[in-house]
Amino acid sequence: MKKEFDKKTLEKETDFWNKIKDNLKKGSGKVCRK
Amino acid sequence: MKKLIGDSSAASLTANMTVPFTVQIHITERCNLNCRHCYQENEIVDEMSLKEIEDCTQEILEVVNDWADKSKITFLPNINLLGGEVFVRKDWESILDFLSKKNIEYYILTNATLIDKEIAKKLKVFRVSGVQVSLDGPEKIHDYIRGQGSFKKAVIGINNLRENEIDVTLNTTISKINYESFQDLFEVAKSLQVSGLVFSRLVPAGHSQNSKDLILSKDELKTIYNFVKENNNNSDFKINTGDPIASLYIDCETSYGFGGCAAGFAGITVLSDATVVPCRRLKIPLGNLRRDSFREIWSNSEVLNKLREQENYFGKCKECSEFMKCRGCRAVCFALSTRKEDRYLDEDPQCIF
Repeated sequence: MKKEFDKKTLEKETDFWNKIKDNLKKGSGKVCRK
Repeated sequence: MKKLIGDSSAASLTANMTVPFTVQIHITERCNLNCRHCYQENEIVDEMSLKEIEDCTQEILEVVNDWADKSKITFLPNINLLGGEVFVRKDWESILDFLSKKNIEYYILTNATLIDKEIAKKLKVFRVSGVQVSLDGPEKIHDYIRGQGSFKKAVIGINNLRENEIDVTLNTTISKINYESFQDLFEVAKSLQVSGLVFSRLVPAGHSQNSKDLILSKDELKTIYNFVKENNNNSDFKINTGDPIASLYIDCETSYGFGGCAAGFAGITVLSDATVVPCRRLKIPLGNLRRDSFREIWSNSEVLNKLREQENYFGKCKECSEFMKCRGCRAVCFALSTRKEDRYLDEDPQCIF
């Protein structure tokens, strides 16, 4: 059974995607997919 | 699922609040070729079963969907199947059948030498979004890198795909061996009537870790980038790249706030034994999906968290104002750095700025 993620993990996720969202307000560029 | 462009190497987006999230899945490390510049190590591993591939794909897609719900960012998840050579694996059809039923955008990265008419027809049935074929130059150069006869076989494969109206792009890894024939490859790509040509920088890792002398100088890279820039301004047949530095240079007139290297930001790679790494060319183990959850790895991996903060970087990248748009190619940094620790955080030695 895989370890369940905790509240702290979810908060870190939210912080990270909020930071990306702030930058996305200026538009999305190319993201490497190689 | 919305299709981006016929290019499985880079996503060029116009709408705000969208992030492509690429899941690269190595379904095997076995390959029928033995290319000079390959970043693989030809290792023998305990490959994931079909069920394990299905489960890990499902797990990652569920997390991405949850991110979308919570963050209000529109994620564009897409899957790249690669290896090794995808068609060496006997149950490749079952894997494609699973993905086609998920109704997700998915691509296959291949050398195309095994794609006969029957396989091409099946790919159409399985609704593959596109196939990226590695072609490293005109015939003589390609065969020097990938083995005698591999160019002709790849062209047969490409034609079989096109006969079935499958979107084909070519990808070339540029190095000292082939950069002078890049324009010839461009003509080959046009003559094959594929939908695009994509290029990547050589990452001397794995099988090619002793080929650092094949790395291009900044001036040589700039020559290629200038050719691409001029071509893209004047031709309908575009050359594309996901390379962060090349993208900054070529698309300098486009205004945006987020892009660049996907490692730690917009993608993940699962190797054929379920080991998770930041990128297929940056093989730093982060965990293993046979025992660890993807969510746990994504949020708590020390390597991924270090990649996300500019203060952890070294050299030019640490001070660069374009950090959120670029970050250099972390795989190139890792392969070429002389640092003893945290090589993946070093500056990109091929930065032309």
